Amino acid sequence: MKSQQSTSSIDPFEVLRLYKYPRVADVSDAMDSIGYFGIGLMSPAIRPLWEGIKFWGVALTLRCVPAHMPMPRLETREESVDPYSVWRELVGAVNLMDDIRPGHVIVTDTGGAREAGKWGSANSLAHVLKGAVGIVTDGYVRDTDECILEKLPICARARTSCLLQSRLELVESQVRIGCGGVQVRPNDIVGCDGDGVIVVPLEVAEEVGMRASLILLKDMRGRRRLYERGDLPPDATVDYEAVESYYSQFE
Amino acid sequence: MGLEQSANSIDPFELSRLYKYLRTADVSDAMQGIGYGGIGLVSPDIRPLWPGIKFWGPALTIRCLPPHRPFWPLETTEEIVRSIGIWNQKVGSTSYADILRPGHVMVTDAGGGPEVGYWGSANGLAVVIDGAVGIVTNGYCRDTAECRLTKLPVCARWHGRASSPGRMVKLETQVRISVGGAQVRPGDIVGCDDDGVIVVPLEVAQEVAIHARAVLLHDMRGRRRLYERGGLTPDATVDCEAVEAYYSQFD
Repeated sequence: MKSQQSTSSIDPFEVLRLYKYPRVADVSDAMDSIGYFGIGLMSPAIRPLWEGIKFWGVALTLRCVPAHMPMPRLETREESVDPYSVWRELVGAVNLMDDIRPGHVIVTDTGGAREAGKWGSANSLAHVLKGAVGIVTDGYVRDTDECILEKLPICARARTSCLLQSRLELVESQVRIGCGGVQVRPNDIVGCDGDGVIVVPLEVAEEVGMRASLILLKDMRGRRRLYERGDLPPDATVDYEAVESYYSQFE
Repeated sequence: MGLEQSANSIDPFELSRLYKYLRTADVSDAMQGIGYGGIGLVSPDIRPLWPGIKFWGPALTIRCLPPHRPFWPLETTEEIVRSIGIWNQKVGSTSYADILRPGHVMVTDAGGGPEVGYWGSANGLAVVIDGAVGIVTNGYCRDTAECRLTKLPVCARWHGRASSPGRMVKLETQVRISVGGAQVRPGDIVGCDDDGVIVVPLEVAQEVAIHARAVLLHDMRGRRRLYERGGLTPDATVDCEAVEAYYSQFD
């Protein structure tokens, strides 16, 4: 298949430009069209935290496992305000901050651990300020009111209040992981909108991106005709001229 | 914490001998007792395939992932028969042939993808013949009738049918994995009986075994008195002398 290039020669951030407009549905249809039925379709249980999250980005992966030891009782009030430092000292940590490039989506495999809010309002904001355009986890998110207030682009399976200690350990970054029933490799293309999350293997991402843009345009034209027939005020979702003009640069 | 030894200096196969008579319940009580309550308690939906499976041994870990590409139609019957080998050749695989030692428990993180009966009657029998004493997976087991017939010590979450082509990638062995909400590292002590599966971190496994032995003997003596009061015929579960005699070699 023409679309099966070796991934090392592909710049994922360049391919990402093809994904500016498609909906997750267009990309799913495009993957179906090359025979990738269900590949990359993340479990529908992993949901955007608020209505209106939409992103496409390049996967930066993080692998976690359940804890292998308990957290000791903290003896002082000073320690109690920074328990994560104690836990990090005990079980180690993985720092993504130096790896983040603008356009990255951080995808987290929490290893089926019990309720543990790896992502919260502070660390998510810090990673977004470094350029992350999305955060996906098969586990939990906490401080959710603040995450929504700050418009943090987080997709998670569930919400929680609790932190990691005694519950979760960070193992490594930028390795192949499983998340929501699909494999995610560093540099795969990851996207989200109200329909859910999808992962496009990098070696087919260019072909899928081109097909998805055509599928989107056909759908936009059809919906525009319906808008006109029903006398609905036009909006960005039927502005196919803008999309056509954007994609003309790739022809 | 005083209970923790460096795991490097411990021979897990030697240490497993301390677990010979222990029930998973005794070990759970001992772990609770040292502050490890809940650590290592594998999800109760991962079940032994037939009543009477009981084993203890050091973990050999296998990490699998969902696929990143679909399978493709095969041309001949001969290819269909060899489909797993063809798939492995295409997407890569990993072998434990050189790692497996008598006494090992094969612990498999199936990666959370679609149904794949990764363990079946043939590969299960092969590892048992090579010395494996148990097989644990957070995924599926297939050929289950034959697995029972040949008394394979398999613990799985589900019975399944499908095999790996287009559905699973066998990624690597002997890394930290997650199974049923518990972290498993190579060499951790893994046990099973009718109550379920438990994982003991190697660095506390000796301490846990010593406490668990006392818990078991205390319970055996109590049950023996009940047997006597109720006029029940004694059996191995109340034979404290046999257990004491076995453990005296370690004192």
